[in-house]
Amino acid sequence: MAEKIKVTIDGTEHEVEAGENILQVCLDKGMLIPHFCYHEAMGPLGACRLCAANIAPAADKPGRLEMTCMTRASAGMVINVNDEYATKFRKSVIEDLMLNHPHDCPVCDEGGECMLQDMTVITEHQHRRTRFPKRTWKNQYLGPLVHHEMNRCITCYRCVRYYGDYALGSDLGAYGSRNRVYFGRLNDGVLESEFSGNLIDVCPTGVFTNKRFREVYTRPWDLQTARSVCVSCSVGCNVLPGFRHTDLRRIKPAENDAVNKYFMCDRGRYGGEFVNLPSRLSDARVSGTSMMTEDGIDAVAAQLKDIATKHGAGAIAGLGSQRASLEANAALTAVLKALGSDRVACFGSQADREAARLAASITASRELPTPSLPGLEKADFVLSVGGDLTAEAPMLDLAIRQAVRQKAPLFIVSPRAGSLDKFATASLRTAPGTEAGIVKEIAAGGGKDFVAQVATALKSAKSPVILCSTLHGDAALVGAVYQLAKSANTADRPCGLAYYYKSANTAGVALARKDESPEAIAADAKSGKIKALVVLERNAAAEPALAEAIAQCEYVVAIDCYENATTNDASAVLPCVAHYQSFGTILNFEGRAQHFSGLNIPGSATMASSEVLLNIAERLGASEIIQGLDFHDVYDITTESGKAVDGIRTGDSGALVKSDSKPTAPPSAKPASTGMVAWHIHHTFGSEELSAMSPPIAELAPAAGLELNPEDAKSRNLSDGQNADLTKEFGVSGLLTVNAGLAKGTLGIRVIQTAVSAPRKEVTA
Amino acid sequence: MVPEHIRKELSDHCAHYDSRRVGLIWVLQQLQEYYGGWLNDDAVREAADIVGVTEADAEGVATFYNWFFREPVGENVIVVCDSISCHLCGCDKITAHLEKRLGIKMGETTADKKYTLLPVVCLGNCDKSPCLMIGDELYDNVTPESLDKTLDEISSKPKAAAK
Repeated sequence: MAEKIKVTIDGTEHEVEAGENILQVCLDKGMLIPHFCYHEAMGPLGACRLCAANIAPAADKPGRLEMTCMTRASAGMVINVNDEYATKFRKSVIEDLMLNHPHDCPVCDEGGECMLQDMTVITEHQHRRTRFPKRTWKNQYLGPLVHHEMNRCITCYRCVRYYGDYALGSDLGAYGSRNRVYFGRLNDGVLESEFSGNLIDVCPTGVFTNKRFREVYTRPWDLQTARSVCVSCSVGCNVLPGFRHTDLRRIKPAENDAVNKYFMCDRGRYGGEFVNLPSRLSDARVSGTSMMTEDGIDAVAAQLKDIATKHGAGAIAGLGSQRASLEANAALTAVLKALGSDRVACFGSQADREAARLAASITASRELPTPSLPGLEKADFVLSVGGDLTAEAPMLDLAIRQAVRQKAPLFIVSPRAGSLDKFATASLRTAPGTEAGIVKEIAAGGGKDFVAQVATALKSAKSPVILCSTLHGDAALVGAVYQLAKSANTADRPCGLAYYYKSANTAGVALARKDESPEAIAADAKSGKIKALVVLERNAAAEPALAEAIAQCEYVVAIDCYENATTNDASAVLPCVAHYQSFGTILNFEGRAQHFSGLNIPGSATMASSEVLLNIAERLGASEIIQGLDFHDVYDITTESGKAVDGIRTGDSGALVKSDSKPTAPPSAKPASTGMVAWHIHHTFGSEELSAMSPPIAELAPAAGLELNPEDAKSRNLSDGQNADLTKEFGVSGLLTVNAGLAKGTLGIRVIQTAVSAPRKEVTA
Repeated sequence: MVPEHIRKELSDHCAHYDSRRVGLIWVLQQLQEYYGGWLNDDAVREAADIVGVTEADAEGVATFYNWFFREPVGENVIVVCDSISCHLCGCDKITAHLEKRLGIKMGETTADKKYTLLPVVCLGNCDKSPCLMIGDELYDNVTPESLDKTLDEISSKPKAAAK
């Protein structure tokens, strides 16, 4: 903790920390000092000269004009922001910045939330005195996400500082000098970074704007917005989805210092357009007949009751959802309870279930510290195991890049090279299933080459973190990583451990007390023991373990926001609103319970899935269960102590869940397979179910297909671009890409969700 | 592409610094000399590759400085200062004289590829305005007469042997 000192700002004494940035102090105190190049995430630069104030080292010393962003607080300092000369100076700086800026605010997409507009008004610059022509630029095509309008540039350098210095992107540069500085790529082309959308927020004016948002003219003040949590991965970035009429127009990150701070990834920002799809459900459908949702609920409740009476309570089971809220999953169990059943499966396979549940129980035990995103940024050793961070939890990748910038060594153990690998100190490509063995070797110490290098770096680190993927269903790896972190964790040197998951609320459902293996439910459905399945926000028909069961089950109720394979085949379909219109609580990778609020947007579907289910429970006459419905009852992870879990209750947003129970013993690693092992390749764009349906994300998604290491391809006489038929061995076939970045003995299967790309509706504002 | 031994020399030079980036300007200078006075796209790419920075970075540096040329220039590049001091001391006259004598406008190269005429903002020589540079030489207190004499001398010199 730095020493507290006193400084005087505009005649008022303030207590600040010694060495604090004066501009930040003033902004924190709510004072409006105009500034451009300064950004809290990127620090000061002193380039724009706009945040000038009269600063004197002491009351009896003369003051002079200084940039507040470049000045650190010292005892007795006197800062005069409203000094006459400083005010005039700031106005003149804005006048200079405005020399070449077009006066196109009425048609500019930034209008209404433009920092330059605000700063110009604050400094009271009104009249353009220069008679010279303005310089003009050609704009570049930067891909489907970001629109480029160089004429509006005021040369603050924020874009390249964010894109290159902060996000470590390589294809955006600043060219030229003086009044002919150009910010862009070397040539037209899609921006390579997975975090390019943040340019829109970072740019203080309208050079970089949201291409999707500007397609349909909307003013930011016309948007209806409620704070929500991103549904595109398990990081749980806070977002502000903006609706106009019935459509989602854009998603912006919402500031949260404990989670995503200022930024978010492109998948989250542009992946929300599934909300607008023509395939979103509006009416209930029972036995092929469309009806009002209420009538559908009546019909479903009656049918379920009938089945329960006829075949007994065990004839009904539920399929919980990893992308629905805790409330919705709790309501599903309430419906089942009302029918006398307690059979729920939230996962796609037993392997996924074991891995996720073990990881979530380790996290919730709080035995080891779970780093938050800001915590990851400060790590001085990073080991990423088992997956591709950029694709599976993008914002974790951006946080790791900050650690890398601070020279933290980064080690990656995974079957396939991802975007983060080029920043790694060392990467180890190893076949799926063998990662756990390598982690154990690291924990044992010794070893050679890579293992020794990691072990040595881990030993000397002061704040190490280990990240592990649970997307590939490797519970042995989850357990091995836990043992490694535990052995590295000491009282004076805590070792952070974070697991990340498939979906937004996987960590939440992984803590459910009642959850069984999907294979067991599938088997019972196929044998006819289970007669009815209630499927909550989940395309279960597309999951290999459940597809057959769904097809054969007598009565399937699907509750979802959009049409998919499951709703197509279901006996009854009940519509619910999409995530960004819904409300509830989800648990992110840290086990942080975050409440998200919904917007009441006009449209035929008006109920959240939790409300739909509670309505069914009510029709079943289970008012007692509903009244006694405590989300703790379902998601109480402190089964032994019986104590309630803090943080899950609505309004308690942001708290970390904690369990008193110790994590279950990890399973022992399966013997390594000698043959080729299949591995699902997740991509940043196109692999996540909901965002893949969004048109800009679908445009960026790679083609589906298979990948092999060059040696494996050669030994099988397969070459790049060929159609590989591996149906006999792995049950898959597809276009083959030979990838030297894939471990030997790995068959990479790209997970690409079939996107329903529909042309955007023309809407007049 | 430069021959392997030059490439190695350039690359080794970058290793002298804490950050290889520091060597970028020097590498660009050497490549500009090697490629006949200007940097084409390939040369910038090559520099980025040798130093180990992104192409965007190398392009940023190559376009920032006055003495890196991204287009072909003549054998002698004349830069005339048009900043405040020189402007007050009559640089316009100097420019007009040069344009007349060489038969080209500011920013152009003579047909015989002997001269390129460019403006520059301040040569840090304000006390001896107006001033200009021809190649690496700085000329103070230039008058049309002194300029004619200098240009006559340069024109009479035999063309430097191509590298």
